[in-house]
Amino acid sequence: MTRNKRLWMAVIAAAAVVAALSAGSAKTVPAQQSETLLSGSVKSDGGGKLDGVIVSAKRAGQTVTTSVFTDEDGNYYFPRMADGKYRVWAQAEGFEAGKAEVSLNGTAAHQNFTLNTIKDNLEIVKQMTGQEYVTSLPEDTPQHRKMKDVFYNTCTGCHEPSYILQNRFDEKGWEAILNLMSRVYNGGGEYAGPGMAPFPVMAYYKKELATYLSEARGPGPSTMQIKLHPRARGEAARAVITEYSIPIADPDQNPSDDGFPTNDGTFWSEGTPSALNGSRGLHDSQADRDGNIWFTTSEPSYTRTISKLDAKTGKVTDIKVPGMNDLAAPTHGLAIDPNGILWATIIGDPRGGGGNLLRVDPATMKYDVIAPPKGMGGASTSIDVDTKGNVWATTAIGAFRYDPAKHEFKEFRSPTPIDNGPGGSYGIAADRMGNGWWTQINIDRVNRADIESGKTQEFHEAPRPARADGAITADDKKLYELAGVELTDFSGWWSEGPRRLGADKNGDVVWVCDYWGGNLEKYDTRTLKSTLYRYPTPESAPYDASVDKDHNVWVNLTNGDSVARFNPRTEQWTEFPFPGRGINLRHISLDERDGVTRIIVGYTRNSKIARMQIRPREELQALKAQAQDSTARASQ
Amino acid sequence: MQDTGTMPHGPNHRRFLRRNVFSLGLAATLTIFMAFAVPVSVASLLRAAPAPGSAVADVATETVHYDSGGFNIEAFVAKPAGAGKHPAVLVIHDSQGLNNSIREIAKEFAAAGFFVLAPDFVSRRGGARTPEQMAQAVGQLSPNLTVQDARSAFTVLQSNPDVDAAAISTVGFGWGGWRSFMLAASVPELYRAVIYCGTTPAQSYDMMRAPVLAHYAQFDFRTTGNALVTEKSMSEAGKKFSYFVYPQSYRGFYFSGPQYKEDAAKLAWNRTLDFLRK
Repeated sequence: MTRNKRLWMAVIAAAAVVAALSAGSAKTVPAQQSETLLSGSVKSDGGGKLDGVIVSAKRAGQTVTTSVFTDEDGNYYFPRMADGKYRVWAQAEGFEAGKAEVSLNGTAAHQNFTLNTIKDNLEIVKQMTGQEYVTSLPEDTPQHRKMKDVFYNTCTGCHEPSYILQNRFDEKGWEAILNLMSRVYNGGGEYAGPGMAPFPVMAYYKKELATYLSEARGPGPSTMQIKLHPRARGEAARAVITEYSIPIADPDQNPSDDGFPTNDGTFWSEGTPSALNGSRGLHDSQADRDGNIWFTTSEPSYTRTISKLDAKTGKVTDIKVPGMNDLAAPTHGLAIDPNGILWATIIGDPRGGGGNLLRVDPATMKYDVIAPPKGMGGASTSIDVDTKGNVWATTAIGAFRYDPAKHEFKEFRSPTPIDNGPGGSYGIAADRMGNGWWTQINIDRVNRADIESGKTQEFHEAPRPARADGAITADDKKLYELAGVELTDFSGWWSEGPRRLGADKNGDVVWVCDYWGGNLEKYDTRTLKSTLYRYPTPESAPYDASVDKDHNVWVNLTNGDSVARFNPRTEQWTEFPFPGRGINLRHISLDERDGVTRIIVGYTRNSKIARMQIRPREELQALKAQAQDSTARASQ
Repeated sequence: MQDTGTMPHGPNHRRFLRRNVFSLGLAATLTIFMAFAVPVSVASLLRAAPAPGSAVADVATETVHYDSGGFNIEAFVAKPAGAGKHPAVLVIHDSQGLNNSIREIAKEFAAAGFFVLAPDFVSRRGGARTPEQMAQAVGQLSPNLTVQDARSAFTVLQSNPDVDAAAISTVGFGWGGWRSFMLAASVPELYRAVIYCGTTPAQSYDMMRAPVLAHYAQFDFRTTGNALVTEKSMSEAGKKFSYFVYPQSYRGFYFSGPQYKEDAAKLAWNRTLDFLRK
């Protein structure tokens, strides 16, 4: 038996028939339905026109929400929408949401909003993104800067800053929170028992951090200096965002009234939702060649390994790949190959298929599970496909490349291998030349495998300057050293945190997102030189990058509830806010099948998929003209 | 996760999966990975002490039983040669239970002149035989009741005519480290406490009189990282605490097996004897 044949024999469960579970309450949009224009204006209670306000519309009984922004004149124009009853709402930070119900029935509709100013800072704060919370935390003294660093580096690797800081506690309350957090299993949150050592950094700074947080987010006057992010303007205000609500994977395990999360971050004043109701888990998302969107699910469920979202109807169809104990095998990374085949990584316990690749043909919805050879590290998290169709996946100690045509695996070890855990590999990208790049987030390494020589080299990112530079004592340094912060679950004040990355498939660049440092780092794949581009608000936490056909780099900002585009020619950033709060974007992909660039993201925390498209000025002008025309006719 | 190689509370399967899923981006579970993937001391032999010699061969051993709140606890006893009262060591096993490693170290302490009592804490669950059963049973024990059983063992030693009641110390390994530390915090009559890779109790140290010596492994980050805060809190409470971190070592460096590190193990052993003999 040849090696190739043996490898092929390792292909498991070939072409299993999809156990397609139709999920959700989405209804198919009837054919031949008429579509109607909805427009209006938004002003403040002071009378001024408000630009950059997000206006959203959701049709009764449907799972799709469409959002647009007001222009510089405070006017908004939805793309034509199917007739029916809609809930429409307008949101801007610092104002109460405006809400209305609108019936579209073939005649262009208008709905104006007047937003009431919120005067109480405590109410404004509830609407803020994680980035705004962090930016607003005080850093006026060395001690404040140190505690801000400790908070950011210790707490926000797992929790959105907004999820934490939307709460107010006195000093004892924050101490109790820190006590609990220091003694749970990281990742699961279960109390680990009294014999379990607390996380050292939390234990060491507990009282100081509790003081800092209680002064900023406590019962008394706050030390926070609220700094709201600018609203969308210009091109960002021309975006139209389509959000699809995804049903909870196991509604029987996580009851809700309608099978969807009770709070999905839609209304900002309700704050960042808890993810304890089954709403967390949706991870990577990717459009297929028909424009339907597929997504992975990283939390264990009984129903969902990978799912297809019908982009027209919002209907979700789950595919369950058997995992352990009747659970569905959980998945993480997702990518599409040049032939339109989807590839995902199965994660979790190897006995449940963790470490294998999942191949799905979106046309037939049939799947194969492909196991790396014994002795080779299994797929751990992320995945990418090179221009020749080779599949690259991270492993605990490096990466592998799988050639589907030859059914061959090739393994690459990181020069500084950290066996599993957060020191392990996280993001991966294959460059235009077919070389693989992957990151080790906790040890600030970017690795490159040269496919021709088979050799791997690493790039050690330079430490970032600490906020508390000058206030860090010998004991602080000793603590972080003893706690092995680089090799455990947290970061230090120096950490850049290269998280996920994206290759320009039409260029010679790989772009790395520095999660902790707030940078986008450019690696020239020919010269191997790197250049750092700092994001204007680094606390936005760049997570993943995807490069469009024009070489622009699209980055999801985890703490900003937004995505940003970096233009490498002008070196200018443009930020595009999304309509939800605490949405926790962990992946970004593009759908450019017809020459139009659409941004696809999944709301990991809030069980939604979103697709964003920038409308050409001409399209908006046409809508504006139609709206004005209908207004004029209505007034005659 | 108190020790490698076992689950502390026998979680249900789903929770186990949740913890191992890379869902939070940071591959959040290095320590958990280690808890499942690096069994350290299963069926291992203690090699912390110098190679067994005639002194160990001369050690008399026996199995005894004592009462702890109405429960019959089995314990391994190792006696030093010679008549008269001896200093004593209450050895508290790690998450793998009272296995040959612990019996061997008990004999080593006896050979060094200490009367040793090593309770089998699994007695509360009816005992266990195989290494897997022992590890599972240890994980299911109530933390507070194990401390109570350790206190009862201390009382047993106090009343033993061969023991110098003023020189009863405790040495705890991993899982047993927290229990030895708890004993020190709640039994003022304790002479000294030695903690190998053990967790520090969160409770008050008001009753503590015994100096504490801790041995930490560099790569046992979650436990070792607490050395500074332990030192700080002990100092603020006016208690004596000293610690050593053994470079390039993992939890279990003192037991033979994949984590054994001879130089560190011998150094820690000698430091332990020096500390107990002061």
